[in-house]
Amino acid sequence: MNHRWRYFSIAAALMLVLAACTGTQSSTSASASASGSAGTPQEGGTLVFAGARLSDSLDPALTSDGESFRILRQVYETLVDLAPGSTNELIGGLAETWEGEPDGTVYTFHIRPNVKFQDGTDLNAAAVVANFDRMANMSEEFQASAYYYGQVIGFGDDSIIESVEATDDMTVVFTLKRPNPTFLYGLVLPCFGIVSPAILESTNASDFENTTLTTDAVPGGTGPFILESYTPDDNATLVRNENYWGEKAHLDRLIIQPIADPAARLQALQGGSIQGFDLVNPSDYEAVTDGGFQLVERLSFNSLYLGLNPSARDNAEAAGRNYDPPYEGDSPLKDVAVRRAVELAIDKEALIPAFYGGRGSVATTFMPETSQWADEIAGAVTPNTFDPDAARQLLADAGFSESNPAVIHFWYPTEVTRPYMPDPAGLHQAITQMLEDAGFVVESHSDIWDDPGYLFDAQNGYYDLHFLGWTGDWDDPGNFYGIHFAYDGDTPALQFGCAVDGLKDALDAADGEAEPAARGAAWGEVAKLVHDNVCFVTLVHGDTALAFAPNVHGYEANPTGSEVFTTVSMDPE
Amino acid sequence: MSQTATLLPAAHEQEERTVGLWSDALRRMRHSPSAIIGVTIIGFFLLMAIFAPFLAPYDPTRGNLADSYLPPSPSHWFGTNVQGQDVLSRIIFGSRLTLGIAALSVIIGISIGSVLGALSGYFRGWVDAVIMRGVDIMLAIPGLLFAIAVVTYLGRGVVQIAIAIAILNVPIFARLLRGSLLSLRESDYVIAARSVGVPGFSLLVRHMLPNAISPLIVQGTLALATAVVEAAALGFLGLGPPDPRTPEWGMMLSDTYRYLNDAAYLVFFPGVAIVLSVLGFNLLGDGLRESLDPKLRR
Amino acid sequence: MGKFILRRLLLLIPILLGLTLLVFLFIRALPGDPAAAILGERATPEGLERVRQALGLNKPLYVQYLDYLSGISRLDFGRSFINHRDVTDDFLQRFPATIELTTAALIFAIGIGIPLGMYTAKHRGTWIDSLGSVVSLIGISIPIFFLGLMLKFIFAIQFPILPDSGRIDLASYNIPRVTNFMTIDTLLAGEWGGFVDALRHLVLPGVALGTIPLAIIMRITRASVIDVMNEDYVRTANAKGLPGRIVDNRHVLRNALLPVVTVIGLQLGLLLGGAILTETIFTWGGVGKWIYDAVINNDYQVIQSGVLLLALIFILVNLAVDVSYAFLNPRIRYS
Repeated sequence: MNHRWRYFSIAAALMLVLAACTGTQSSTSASASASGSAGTPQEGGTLVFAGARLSDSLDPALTSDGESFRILRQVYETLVDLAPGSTNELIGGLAETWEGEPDGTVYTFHIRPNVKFQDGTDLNAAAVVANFDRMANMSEEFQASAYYYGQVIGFGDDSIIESVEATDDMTVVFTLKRPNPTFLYGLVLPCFGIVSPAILESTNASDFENTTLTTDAVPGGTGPFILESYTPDDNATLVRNENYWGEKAHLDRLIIQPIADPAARLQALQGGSIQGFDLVNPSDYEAVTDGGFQLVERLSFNSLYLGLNPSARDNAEAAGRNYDPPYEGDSPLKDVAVRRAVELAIDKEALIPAFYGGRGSVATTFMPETSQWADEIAGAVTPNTFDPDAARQLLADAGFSESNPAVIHFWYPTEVTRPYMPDPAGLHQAITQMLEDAGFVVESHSDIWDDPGYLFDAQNGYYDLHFLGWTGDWDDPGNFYGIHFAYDGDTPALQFGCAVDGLKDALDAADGEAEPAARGAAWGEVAKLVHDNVCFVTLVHGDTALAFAPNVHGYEANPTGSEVFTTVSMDPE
Repeated sequence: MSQTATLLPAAHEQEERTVGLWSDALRRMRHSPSAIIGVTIIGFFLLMAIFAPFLAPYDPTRGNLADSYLPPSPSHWFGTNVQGQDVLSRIIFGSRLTLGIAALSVIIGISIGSVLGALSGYFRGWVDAVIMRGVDIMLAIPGLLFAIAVVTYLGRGVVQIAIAIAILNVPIFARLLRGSLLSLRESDYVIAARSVGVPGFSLLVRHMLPNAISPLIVQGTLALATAVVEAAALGFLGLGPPDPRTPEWGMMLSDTYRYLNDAAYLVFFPGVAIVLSVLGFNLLGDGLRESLDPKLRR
Repeated sequence: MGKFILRRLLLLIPILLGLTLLVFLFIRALPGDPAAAILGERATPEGLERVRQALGLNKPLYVQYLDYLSGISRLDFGRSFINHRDVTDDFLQRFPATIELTTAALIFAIGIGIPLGMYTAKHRGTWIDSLGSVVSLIGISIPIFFLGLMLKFIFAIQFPILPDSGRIDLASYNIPRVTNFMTIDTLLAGEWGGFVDALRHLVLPGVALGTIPLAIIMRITRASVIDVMNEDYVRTANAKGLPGRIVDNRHVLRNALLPVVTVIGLQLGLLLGGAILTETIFTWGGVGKWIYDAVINNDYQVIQSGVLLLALIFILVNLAVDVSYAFLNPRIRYS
């Protein structure tokens, strides 16, 4: 009967042979010499780096998320840039220098000379104008994806730009309709990367039906890397731009691979198939360092918050929303003392080791500590520090007891993780427990993140309590407090229903203030009103981290996530 | 996900419906090792579900962040999760949900599927054509995607999950019963009964359905197994019950598989619970099939 | 036979039409909103409205459906809402990856399932047989996602002898994508090492995906072989003293394989479905992961066209199985 086993043993042998061909990928050998030595960076090498996804689109103007920016940032460059590691220090990019004041309306950019696009054409003022013209005139289908152009500049009548003109071959003048103190910060975003006009032409970039700029790897930028090939869901391969105007990259090739699951990214690093990845699972920080890998911390530029909405039940009823379990009776959150009890009941500190791997800070205000405004805003706010006894007392004083408990409904999103929210369900459970310990009765709800049920309902203010967070686009309190609490006419932001006397005036004053010192004080006033009335509870500024193999050097993390791989080098193995 | 459907030989011979068949089947089941093991495993989980409050050492939904990630120890046999909840207690209470969802989904699936299958197999003609095309369409969509869509549509919850799984089972049961009825139509005794003038409906109810029932029972048992897997897969994909404290096994896996690198026990124990219960139902179904299939009765 | 095939092909039309309607209505009945998916926490009511307008989601449902149908009739499956990529291109680019994975799983399942099934059948009633049925039942009982995670944990993390994800070691091999079958592309590039590496990448996902079919094929083979061995002509052959090996090959195997072929065909369809979980766990850039991501992102265009293409393939495979079955077995007549 032995021959019967033949099939089986052949198959088994084949598997063993394949398994034995493991080659040289010993993962955790941890040769200690690699990580310490700085020295001169080695030239050459291929770095495989994993993000959660690849780029949504290869047309920079149509992207708005960090994963897309990661790739396109290497290829396309913007007029102005952030200094390495800084969230607010502007340096020259494709514009070598510029003039323009935060409270003025005219910005003059002097284009860097002798810069060539990767297709060999020259960068000049006309190319910059062509790019901004294209973005301003994008068709509606494109506008749907061009989030930041809409946000920073605006389409059609909403545009803050009066004109963009080339006054000579190397000078571009932007004239705004009104002063905008954060305009330059907006231009730093990779979606404002300048594309070669010849490439815009050859890829039909303005024709929604036929554009290939969104899908094809083209030599369209001025950046340190050229996109050589792009296979969706598989990899993006970038090669060094030998003609780069600035300091050239050390790496020969940079391959970005998509691995959605953070645990799988670590496994890939351990297995040797990648040499670095972003967004390490906080619970894996120890595993990274124990395995002989490098953990590169990226300080927080975000904040997780608990939204409280006193008028949620009225809003939900008006909109005909029926939840299961249903809202019953008046919202206890209408009493500011109860809202304060919510904040006092939450041990923000305890969330950091459990969910952020111990890396992060308690969010007393919305502004992350990496912001230049953090101290000023924090100085204006009186913190409500964890005190469950005080919370219980406040509830009792407000007339709630065990027989007549304060019932609040609390939502969390599913199918999503964010840098500020690594484990929504877990955070929800932990905070529910804390609220219950302080005497609240909590009804749990969840909904899918990108579902009107969560984002839509949360932002329309149908939820008593909900989680959301924010990663700053640029360093300005207006991008944090302003975006969330701005009034629509006389209506406070629906999401929080934060109807506080004087808030509207304070917001208007802060928004219009361009002079930096006065701007800080004005936003401090806004923050004070918001936090004193507990319109939301800022919870944690979560740090994130990248991991690298021991032979990779020189990665410089930036809180905004805008990072170029030029400084990265690899020791030969 | 509905692989076990194919375990069943397509055509089932008719059987005489006599007390003898069933007692005979029971007798043979007692000698079938797979049936015995299956019954033991399922019995074990059933007892666990019934006596959960007495067996579980801790409250499955209460935890303390200070007790996060305790590895298995005498005080927490299966360790604790990030919330500091006791994993053993959660698995014990989870058996209630798993068995409940499985049973409910199979009951609903058999009921609707049998009605459709009976209509199809009895009336034939355009009724058959319409129902069978509907079945074809449903079977052409990957089952898991279908279940995801149904749960997203109905909203998350235990009953909704059971309904989604039941809908997946409907075409399988419908096809099975129709097939049995079609082969029975041509069998000698049905032809004989028809020729002596037994009215059609009573022929269906009194003579044909009872004979078509044993494949349904076998398939139902196997469907219990797939239901457990499907419920866990939905939980794994984040479509379990809305309260994250619910100790559903699939959700326990999806909550913790991110910690596979550091705390493999968090993934291992709920996974083993799923495998064991599915195995129990499969063994039982296997044993039932061998006992009820007259071809194997030798 | 020709008439039968023609009839089955004509029957495809109502099935596919029904399918388009079902999928179309279903994804629109879901509470998800592609506009919200695109904008995320940056969604504002005006932003949502603008995106919905641009994507054509404000048109009446029947207009959207007719647009969709007229696109399909021109073989234009539209563009993704999220990345504007052409759905047909993306499907064709990913499908080879899925085929490659499915083939590996099938080879694993058949290569081990049939011999094991025959072996246990020949030892029917012995402890080997019992062990075989228990093992095969365990194989059927392990959910793909759990098996995948465990395989990865054991063979890629604890004992790193196999790659954990992806299709090839990107750092070592720069393979031009010609056919998008990694095994073929590596050979076209003349990279033997790359070919072996591509095979190694197939092992864990192939085993994860192939285990359930393996167990099923093993069980069907066993049952089928037992059936055939009890047939009179085999008994006769044995009785007249033909060597066991000849009986096995000439009489048992050939006749026993008929039902096995059917089951293999059915498995192929199910494998395409099982690929969703496997591809997600092993970061395999195939159709399953593509559609799952589209469901998560509410990318209607990808869901409705992707599911339709997948279902079409599933139906065609089943048809091919039916036809080959009829072809192999002259006793079966289709009218």
